[in-house]
Order: sequence, then C-alpha cells, then structure tokens
Amino acid sequence: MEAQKEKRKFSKRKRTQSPKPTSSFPLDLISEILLRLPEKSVARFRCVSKLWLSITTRNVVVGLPSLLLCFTEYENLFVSSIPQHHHSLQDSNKSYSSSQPIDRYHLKFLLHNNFPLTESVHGLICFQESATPIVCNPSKRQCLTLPKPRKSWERLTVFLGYDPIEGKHKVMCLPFRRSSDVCRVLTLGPAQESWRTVKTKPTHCSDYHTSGRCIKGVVYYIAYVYGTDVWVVMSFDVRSEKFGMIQLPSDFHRDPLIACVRKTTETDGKMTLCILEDAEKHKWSNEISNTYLKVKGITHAGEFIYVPDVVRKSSYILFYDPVRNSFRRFELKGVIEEKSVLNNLFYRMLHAFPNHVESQMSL
Amino acid sequence: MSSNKIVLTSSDGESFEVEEVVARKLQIVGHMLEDDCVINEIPLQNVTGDILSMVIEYCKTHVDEEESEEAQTKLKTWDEEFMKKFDIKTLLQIILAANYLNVKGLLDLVSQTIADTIKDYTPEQIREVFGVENDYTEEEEAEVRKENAWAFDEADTPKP
Repeated sequence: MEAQKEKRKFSKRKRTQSPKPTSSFPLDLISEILLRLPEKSVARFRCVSKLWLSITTRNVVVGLPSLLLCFTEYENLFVSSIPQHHHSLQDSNKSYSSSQPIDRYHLKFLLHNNFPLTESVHGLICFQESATPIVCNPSKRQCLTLPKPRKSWERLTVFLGYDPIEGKHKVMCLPFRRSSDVCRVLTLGPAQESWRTVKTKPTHCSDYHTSGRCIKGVVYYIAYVYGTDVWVVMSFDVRSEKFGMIQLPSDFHRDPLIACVRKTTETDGKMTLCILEDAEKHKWSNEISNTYLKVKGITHAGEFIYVPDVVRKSSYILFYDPVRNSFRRFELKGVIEEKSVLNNLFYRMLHAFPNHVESQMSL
Repeated sequence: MSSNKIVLTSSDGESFEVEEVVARKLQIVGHMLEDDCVINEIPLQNVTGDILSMVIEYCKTHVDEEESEEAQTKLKTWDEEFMKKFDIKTLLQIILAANYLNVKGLLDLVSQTIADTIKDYTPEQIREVFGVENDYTEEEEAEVRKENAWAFDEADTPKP
C-alpha cells in the first residue's frame, strides 16, 4: 500500500513536470529577422533570454561576411559590424540603417592612420605600431603584438595572408618605402613561430599606400620593380611563399585606393584588373563627387564599398553596383548614436574592413 | 515551357496540383526534380496545407518576374497586400515554411514583415510569440535591462 502510494506520487510528479519548452525556432531565421531591426529593438530583445543575448551580441550574423567598422579614439577602439549583403527587399538607390551592437576595446597603444591597416583576412586584421606588427581578432577581442621582424627596419609595410588549404594565417613584412631583396614571414598559430627570411624575386618596393588584398591564398599588392619605374601588382602565394608579378596597364594611375584586383571567374583563374580610374567617369559621380568617400573594397556580390575617413553624424557608406549602376546607402547614424560611442568618440577616425567573417582562432 | 503538372502534398495530407514552373519556385522541389525527372507527386513533410497554400499563392504570383519597373512596382504592392493578411503567428509559420521549402524571395519578404511587426514588442511579447523560455535569473535580467535601459523608455510608455 505504502509502496503503491509512493509510486503514484512519483508518476504524478513526473507527469506534471512538463517537457522543457525548447525553442525550436532556427537560429539563422532569428538572425535573419534581427538583421532587419533597428538598434533599439535589438537592444531590447537582448533581455529575452541568454540565447537571444548571445545572438544579438555576436559580431556577425551567421555565416555572412560583414563590413567591420572600427572607430578609434585615443586608446579606445570601437568595433561594430554591419551586414554588407543586399536584401532583395531593400530598394536600390535607397538609404537604410542597421542595428549591430558595438564592442569597445581598450588598446595599449594608439591606432593611427599613418600606415595602412590590412584588410580583414579570414577574420583577422593586422596593423603596426613602432615597426611592430599587431594582429587582432575582433570576434574574440584579442590582440597579439608580434616581435619586430627586423631591427634595422624602422618602418614597415605589413601584409596578412591566409592559406585556405592548411588553414593558416601568415604575416609578411617588407621595409617601408624602400626596395628589398628579402621579406620576413611569420606563420600565426599555437606554436608561435619566429620570423623567417624569404627572398623577394624580383627585388621590389611596395607602394606606401598599398594595404594588400588576400584572394584565395594569394596576397596582391602594388609595387615597383627595383631599378625601374614600372608599377606592377606583386603576388605572394601564402602557401608556397613564392612571388609573382602582374603587369599593369600602361596608363595605370597609381592610386591603390581605387584599384582592386579580383578574379573574374572561379574557373579560368585569370586575373582581371578592375580600375576605377576616375570616380567622375562613373555616372553617379554627381551623387558623391564632392564628398570624402573612398573605395575600401568590393563585396562578394561585386559592389564597390565607399567609406568616409572620418565619421560625422550624417556620414554614410555607399555600396555601388557597377553592373546594375545602382547604389545603396548605409547611414552610420544608428551606429554612432549608441551612447557609449557618442560620449567617448572624440576623434572619430573610421576604419572599414570589407568581407569580414567571424573567426574563432585564438591568438 | 511545358505545363507539366506536379502534385504537392502537405504534412496533413492536403494535395495541391500546380504547374511545374510554380513548383520549381520551391527550391527543395527543384532539387528533387533534378534528381529524378519522373516524379509528379511530392510529399512535403514539414508544412501544413494552410501554410503551403499561402506559399503556392506567392510562387504563382512571382512565377514570371519581369524586369520592367512597372511590373516590379506591381509585385511589390501585391507583396505588401499579401503580407497584411497574416498575424504574427502565421508569419512565423510562413517563415519556417519558406526556409524549409527554400523560397528565397518569400523568405526575405517575411523576414522583413516580421521585423516590422515585432519592432516595438517587449521582451515578454517576444518570449510568448517565439516560445522562448526566459532562462535569466531575476538578477541577471535586471542587469541586462539596466544595460539596455535606453531601448525601453518609449516602448514601455503606452502610446496615447
């Protein structure tokens, strides 16, 4: 009798313990919706649950490359990322805004604009301070100061490459504005390697503006060959560490900010130089001709990304599609209106890194 | 284009006969047809008949997407009117279906409509609608609310 009673009690308890309401709503769909919400709604929805908090504080909405934005102020770095893909619903030639959260980092150094920063290469960015390269993973809020590549090099040109086959990042350094027959290469990873010397063939000097572009395991940058005044695109194969050289058209205007290298197709492997020789030759020049926007890169969809150097309240980023001759305008208002930024941003320098993907790599 | 008919069957056994071009708008069906050309009846396990009929209605309307501006504007207006019919619960079912059936255009449309609908919701409303369990402790929730207090001021004041 007693045992029976006990049993009944047990089964009853078991039944009243209803199954945990598991939210079966797919995360990527939640992201897809959050992506389209204003900053304010996203901030409010962080209070929904821990899961929603984690989705809304992630830098990048699942799987999609984003445009990483860094604002600097003294020793603070504010990092945010905005979606760069085009929604079919967004009208072309229209303005929109977004709602990604802002992360704040404290750096032990000043990030300034004298030397170009690398692009975001498979989740990492690289810049330099006093001839020392610094690698940063914004997704993990980590920065790593590398040893000096070479004592005698007082100033550097720094490139970051990613070898998709072995899944390794490499930092490559050349002396700044000076020809050199060697470069220094360091492979990033848990077994912190030291700098190695690699012969540069031919001896060349990289352009002082060039920040390099890593495409499918090869770093491309603008340089001139030693003893000539011929400007070329140098290629550095990240895996084999071999150099190559691509001739530029003779009428090439040496402004690396408006010249980009990209592959035309996946299959033929041919390199095509896309040169935006003169912004005014584009039909939409009326739209932005007198502004301070500069080309910072191209999205995977082939849109040019125009970004201002300095942020003002009315600043915007322009995505221009040269094929459809259409543009969309991303207003920075929403991003910089966040209180933490407004209160602290004294010196609003803006760095933009197109095609940023989240990396879980620890530095 | 041949007007081959295809029968789509929902999880609750409702059948819809549609033209192949319409069915192909559901990418999941498109892939099945490529794998085996002789299929003419396709069971769709994760979508009920009432939701499937909405998706088919969308696909029928979008079957030939013309480039002309006039056609685009017309479609856009149709999309807006179409979306007005649904409450949030139905919208969430449609987004799940659009995701499962892989209808890109509809997925974009519904995502935006849901975003517009829930924009002023409170966290409580979100939990209810999305069936999310609040796993914060009271202290934790108070902390997160404090951090994001700026996002609440207007939403909590009922509109006159």
